Amino acid sequence: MVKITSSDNQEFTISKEIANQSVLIKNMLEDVGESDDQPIPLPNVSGAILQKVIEYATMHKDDPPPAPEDETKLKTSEDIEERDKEFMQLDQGTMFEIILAANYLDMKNLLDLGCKTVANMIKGKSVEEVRKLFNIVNDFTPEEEEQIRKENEWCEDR
Amino acid sequence: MNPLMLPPLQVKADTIQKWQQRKVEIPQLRGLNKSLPYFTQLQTKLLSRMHRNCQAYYTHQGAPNSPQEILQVFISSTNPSDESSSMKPLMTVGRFTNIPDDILLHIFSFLDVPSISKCDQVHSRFASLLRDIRASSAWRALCIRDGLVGTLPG
Repeated sequence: MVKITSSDNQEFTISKEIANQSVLIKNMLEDVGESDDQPIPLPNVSGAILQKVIEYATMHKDDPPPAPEDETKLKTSEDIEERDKEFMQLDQGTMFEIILAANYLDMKNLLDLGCKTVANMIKGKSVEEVRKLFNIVNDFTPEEEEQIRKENEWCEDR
Repeated sequence: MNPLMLPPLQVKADTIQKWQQRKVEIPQLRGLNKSLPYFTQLQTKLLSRMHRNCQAYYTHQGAPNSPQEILQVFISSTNPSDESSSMKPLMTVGRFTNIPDDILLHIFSFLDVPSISKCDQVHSRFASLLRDIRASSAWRALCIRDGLVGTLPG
């Protein structure tokens, strides 16, 4: 078993196969060796988020190892598993925290899942709808806005 | 993380020509009028956007002469230690304020052309990121998907 502690000092004890889904923790374990039973500090992740991340890792512990990346393959956000879709039904704050945690812990599948979920939220929306959805304040001057709208005219829906 | 800043693949010389001669429909681009002149324009613009991004990339990194060199560029460009931009304070972009550039680009890489175009107009940070040298691979991915570029020879 492996012990990890969150930024707010919550301690979690998880199995090695779950811990190893994080490349960061995996590398740390290899560095410190098996015998060390000191908890691994994860100062960038809160306990609440770590709980969710462990939930995800537990759900995916029996997954086959990922296929090597084929960079000519079409990248799509439409291939999310049903259980992952359910897992990502979170408020936006938690969702972005999980994306940041996945990036920090180096968990590619979870990072991809988070980014695909955000991409799916953006798809098909207008500029104003995207701003509203993510609470973004338009910071263009009217002149800049007109300029950038012209630059993007070529792929306007018609 | 999956490298987002791959240098471009070689552009097929006859690509644009092919697009102008043949009527090709792209099923992935939903909701768009699939008429030939419009699509020729769309594809030409897409390709030129990628070119512009890649040119910026090469001006910055030096143009590679062989596939081996491309691999080197590829490795050095994804090395987080030379990521100077991560030191910059992030602009306030609503929910995206704390999201670093590389994750934003990762999100963009899952989008289709019309959605990327919309993001370009949402906020100045998105716009400058999509014009950044690091966005070349997002544009490249779209060009690969639409069959505008091929793989490297050799």
